Amino acid sequence: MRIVVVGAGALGGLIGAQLSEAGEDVVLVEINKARVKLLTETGLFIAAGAQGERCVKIRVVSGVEDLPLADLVFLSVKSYQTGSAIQSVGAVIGPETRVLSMQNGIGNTEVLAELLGEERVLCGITYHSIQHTGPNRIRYRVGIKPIQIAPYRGEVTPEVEAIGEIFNRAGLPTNVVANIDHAVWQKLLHNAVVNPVSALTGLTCREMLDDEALQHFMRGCCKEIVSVMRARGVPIVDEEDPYRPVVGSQRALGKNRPSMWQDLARGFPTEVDALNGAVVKEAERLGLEAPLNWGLVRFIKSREEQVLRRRRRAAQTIAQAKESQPTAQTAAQPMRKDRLGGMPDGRVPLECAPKLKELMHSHYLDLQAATQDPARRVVWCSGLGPVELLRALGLTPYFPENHAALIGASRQGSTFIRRALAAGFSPNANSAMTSDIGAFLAHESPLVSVHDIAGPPRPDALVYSTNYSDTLRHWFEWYSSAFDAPVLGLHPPPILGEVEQLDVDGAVQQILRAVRGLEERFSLRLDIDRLGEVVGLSSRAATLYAMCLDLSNQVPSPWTYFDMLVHLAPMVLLRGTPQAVEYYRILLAELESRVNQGQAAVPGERFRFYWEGPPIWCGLRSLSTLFLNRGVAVVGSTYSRIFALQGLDAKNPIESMARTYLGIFPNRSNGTKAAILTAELQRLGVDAVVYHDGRTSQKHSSVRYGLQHRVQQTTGLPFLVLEADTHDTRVFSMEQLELQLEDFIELTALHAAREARAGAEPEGATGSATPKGT
Amino acid sequence: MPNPSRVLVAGVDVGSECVKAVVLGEDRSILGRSLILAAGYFGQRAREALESALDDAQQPSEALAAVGVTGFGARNAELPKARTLIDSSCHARGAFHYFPEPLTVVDIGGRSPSVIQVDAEGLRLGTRGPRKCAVGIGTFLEFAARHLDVHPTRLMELASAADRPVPISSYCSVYGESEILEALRAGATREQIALGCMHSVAERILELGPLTPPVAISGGVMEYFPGVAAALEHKCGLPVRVVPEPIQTAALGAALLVLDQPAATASVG
Repeated sequence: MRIVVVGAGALGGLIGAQLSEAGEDVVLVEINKARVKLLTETGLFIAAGAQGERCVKIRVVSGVEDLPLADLVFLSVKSYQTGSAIQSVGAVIGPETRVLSMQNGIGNTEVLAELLGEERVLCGITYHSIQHTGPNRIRYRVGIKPIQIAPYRGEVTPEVEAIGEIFNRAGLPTNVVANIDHAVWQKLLHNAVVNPVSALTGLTCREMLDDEALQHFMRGCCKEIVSVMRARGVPIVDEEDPYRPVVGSQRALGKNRPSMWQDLARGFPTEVDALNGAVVKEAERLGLEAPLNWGLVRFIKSREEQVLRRRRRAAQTIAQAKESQPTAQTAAQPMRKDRLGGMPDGRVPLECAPKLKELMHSHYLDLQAATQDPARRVVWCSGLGPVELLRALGLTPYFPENHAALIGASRQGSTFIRRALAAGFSPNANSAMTSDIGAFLAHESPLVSVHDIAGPPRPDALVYSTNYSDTLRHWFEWYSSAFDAPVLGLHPPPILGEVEQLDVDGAVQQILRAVRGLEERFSLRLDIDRLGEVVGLSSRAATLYAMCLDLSNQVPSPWTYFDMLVHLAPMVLLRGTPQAVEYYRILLAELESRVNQGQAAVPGERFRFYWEGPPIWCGLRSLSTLFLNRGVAVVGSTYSRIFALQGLDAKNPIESMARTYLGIFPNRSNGTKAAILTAELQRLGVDAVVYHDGRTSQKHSSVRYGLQHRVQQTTGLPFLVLEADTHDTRVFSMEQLELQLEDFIELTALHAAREARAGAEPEGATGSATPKGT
Repeated sequence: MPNPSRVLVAGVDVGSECVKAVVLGEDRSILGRSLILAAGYFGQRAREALESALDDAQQPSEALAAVGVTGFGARNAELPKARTLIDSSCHARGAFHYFPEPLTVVDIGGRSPSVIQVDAEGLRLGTRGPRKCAVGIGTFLEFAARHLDVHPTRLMELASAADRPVPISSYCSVYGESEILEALRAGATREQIALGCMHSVAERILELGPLTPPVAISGGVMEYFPGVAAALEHKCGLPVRVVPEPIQTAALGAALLVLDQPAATASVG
């Protein structure tokens, strides 16, 4: 049979591939040209439940001009695309062609019947649960009921029976029935209650189940739909409590979010018209009322408008950024394909990476200029120190911790640490500090080769805060005596639980003391309005940066921990400047556009990990390659989250600085850390956690105090503890680390397979239908 | 009589100290085995071990349908039809072959000890590896033998003659060695120190976390220093079973995994 599948999404891909494997003449039509190319080159990877993947070669085209008339057109586009999709394939629809829609909701087949005439239209319904796990990968769970197909009007003819047989032969259990109006409504009951509420609240099904207020509301929506169904004569599955099966389906979906949430997150319109919209329309026709459903339609429409607007703005910002950076413009490198199975390889670099490079370069050139300008003063500042004060006073900051990170990432740490040990430092001293001081003693710096400047500038003063680490005191004191420059230290109280006013007041006094010190040293006066401006700029950059981090809760994630470590640099070096704000606006736009296109940072994302503890700067390259090759996206880390500073307020600069810098993660109690981490892990939807115990990073290795066990109690996530170091390659074995990670990734796969199996069982037990398109 | 039409699989465990190979028939019977020292020639010795196991089985190499490779030097082994497998999965599978039930496998090899939780199907539930460079390993016992002036294979004999163990408690092999020297200087007997080393290995295992019964031990240490099992039993108060041919456990597991799953999830390569 000649079959044309319109829309190569999750459902279209699965049905097309199965029919094609069964020997039918199948062509998929897809308007997204990039998708056509990818699927043609690599095929579609399909995994069923907990079983392994198979790759199906399918024929995908972007138009139907050259195709002969089809026997069957299978429509699997979103309901709002029904009309336009069917017109685009008009050339293959002849008088004998049957058009089958298995779309969500009500009204699709009505549109088809109007365009094509009732006799050619077939309605279908499926209970398969299909998810995209990558741009060319899907995973599905067979529905608990067979697919049902029925003619739009009239009797079941032999031609319709034949279509049912073909589906059955292709391993798609199917019943041909006279009327599926009942089944369509019963399925709609689930989708219309669960989808919009999850889309509006952003909650997973499990979270919604735990929320009594929401359940109460959803029960109300359910009641309205049940009244409509009763008036239409549709039998109710559970007469005693019609809402019970909806609870069952939420339980079965667990931590998944329905397709409508995904649509909004990706900036697409939703199917709300075909779901709740259809309920409202039908209620009106029957003289009933459905105010809750009416409200849901309005709210979803409003969200649609917002996301579409945001998507347009994102496209605009990227276009502008490209225009203003003609030299920096480089297209994302095409994904290479390896020889095994056509799995795309290689990380897709962010388009704004050259822009970042340029920004860093001009930062260091300016620093060089400041050292040569007798009118300018350079002050060394710790990464989470009160840099806003320096900027407001017109001082130029330099950040030794960033210098140490550069040394670590270029794997020169161990070389320089030797110099520091010879000068009396212990091998147990923080290796970021000993790398940096060792480089100073060796008169070497990566800044020379990377930015072509003379190296770190001579300080006129040094300012640090121990909020991030106590090491900074020793680090800065050492330089203070080496350069004979004054050092000003902020020692805010470590915070045990909530940030209390008493602690904030103490931190304010510390800031005021630093202000007085700087004013006296350089004969300056702090202009509080100027400080407000700078704090406002920090706050805006931090908010945009936080929005960027938030996007890694998308599946697939548009960027990873390893990207974040590079792109957080402006939050350190340029916090409080308009350049940082501008940069994160561009980065956010690019990440949003990646999300909209479903572009993955790790092609074929299998698992999502979280990295707790300090970065292994000296092993970043091999770690990122390992994770990439195993299909693991590390979607977040406590380290990158620290710089998403919350609470800076231009109107209350000093107190808000005190409060914000006091409350950063490393300065919190173990209990608070566990709570923060638990929330973050749940928000990102990760599969496992990797804890790094940095041998010389006492304060940042929270795992030393049992954080992993606390977090496992609340999240149940598997974890791995790695013992390594940030800079010193000599105190751990990179190879052993890689073996441990490979072992752990395999374990995560076994765990996931077990969960998938366990998840399949209770679903059958509740007897509820699982809506497709989750 | 060799029968070339039979389908065979092999498992090769390229350990840090020894390379082990096992050839299996379709019925899971062990047809051939071999054991040679690695001595740092991981790639070459992997080939030799496989050839020698095939010789032992009296089978031509063409009869091999698949080879599972695991162990410290697995990446260096370039064998035909080979698939690289995770160490602890192989130990899990190998031990499960003899004890088919939910199980805690303690693997003590040349380089690192680990505690592997196995489910009712022989799949791993979790692995606890060494948290510090560990004394709980074969290489440490070899060093110890050198200081005690006996061949490593005789360390066990020495230990069986001891009245009590001398405590050796460092988690770093180098510190452990100096503890041995200090004990000798303080007048402890070689027998007491040998037994102390066995106990030390057992203690390092227990530091990885509590053991859930039933417990089975695999790995090369058990082949040469069976006293470690007794020490472990004594210290954790649980009966401890030793996997038959413990040094071959991972090689056997690797062969079984490629036999069970001709192309499946356990692969890392």
